[in-house]
Amino acid sequence: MRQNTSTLLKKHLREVNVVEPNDLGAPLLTYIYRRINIFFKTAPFIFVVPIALLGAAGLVYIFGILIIRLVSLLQYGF
Amino acid sequence: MVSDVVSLIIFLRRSIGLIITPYATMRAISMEKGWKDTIWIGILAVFYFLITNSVRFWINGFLGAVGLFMGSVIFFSLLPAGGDKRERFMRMIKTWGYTLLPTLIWFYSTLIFYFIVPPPRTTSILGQSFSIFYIAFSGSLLVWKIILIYLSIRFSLRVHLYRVIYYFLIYLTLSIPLWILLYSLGVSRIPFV
Repeated sequence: MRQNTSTLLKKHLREVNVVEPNDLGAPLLTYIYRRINIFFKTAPFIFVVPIALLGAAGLVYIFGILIIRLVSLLQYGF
Repeated sequence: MVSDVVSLIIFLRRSIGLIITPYATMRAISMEKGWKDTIWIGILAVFYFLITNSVRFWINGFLGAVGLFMGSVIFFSLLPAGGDKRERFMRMIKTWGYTLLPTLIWFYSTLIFYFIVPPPRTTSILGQSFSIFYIAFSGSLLVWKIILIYLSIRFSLRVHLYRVIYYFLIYLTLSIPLWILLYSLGVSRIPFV
């Protein structure tokens, strides 16, 4: 059991260190990037789906018939 | 037979993993030696093109998709990055294969919607509601696709954010004219990438 845990931990450490952390050059940029990145690393759909629904409703409200035509076009696109 | 079932289970676990924890799952995919689970993506793509060929007679669609897939994998493998070209190629095949998941979901669901709610859409309440749903659905899948592409390039080539963006922009610059060419040749209306 101890060996299994140790093997798993080693594997996890190897995985975590496979790429160097991103450094965007400026500490502020790196900080902002890391704050935003959290949302994309785990369960991104929790916030992507509501934003997409609001965005889609906004697009239909603003552009109206153009978006409805776009949907028809996409539906023929498969 | 047993290894096929195991690879299917691994494929399903990774597919769910890419929805819940895309970062950790893509990192694990890039590090694993096995590649059998990636075949299931190919099987799903073949099955899709078999259906659409009988529906819309797009005989060249599958060849176009295979060409785009292999072209993308070879293109990224040849770019300067960590590890040798063969390693990058093997990692890229697996991770880029999994970036086709949102594409497959979108194409399959569009095929189903084509029969359930056939186009063209109207400006009625139901038509507008479906349009909102469809745009949100497509947009969410597009965001997921972009996340997976970013992670695929990052973990396969082991490069930083700026270089991922740089490589992806070069890829788009070369790909967009190719997609337009495929459209004008009647191979695909929306590129299977």
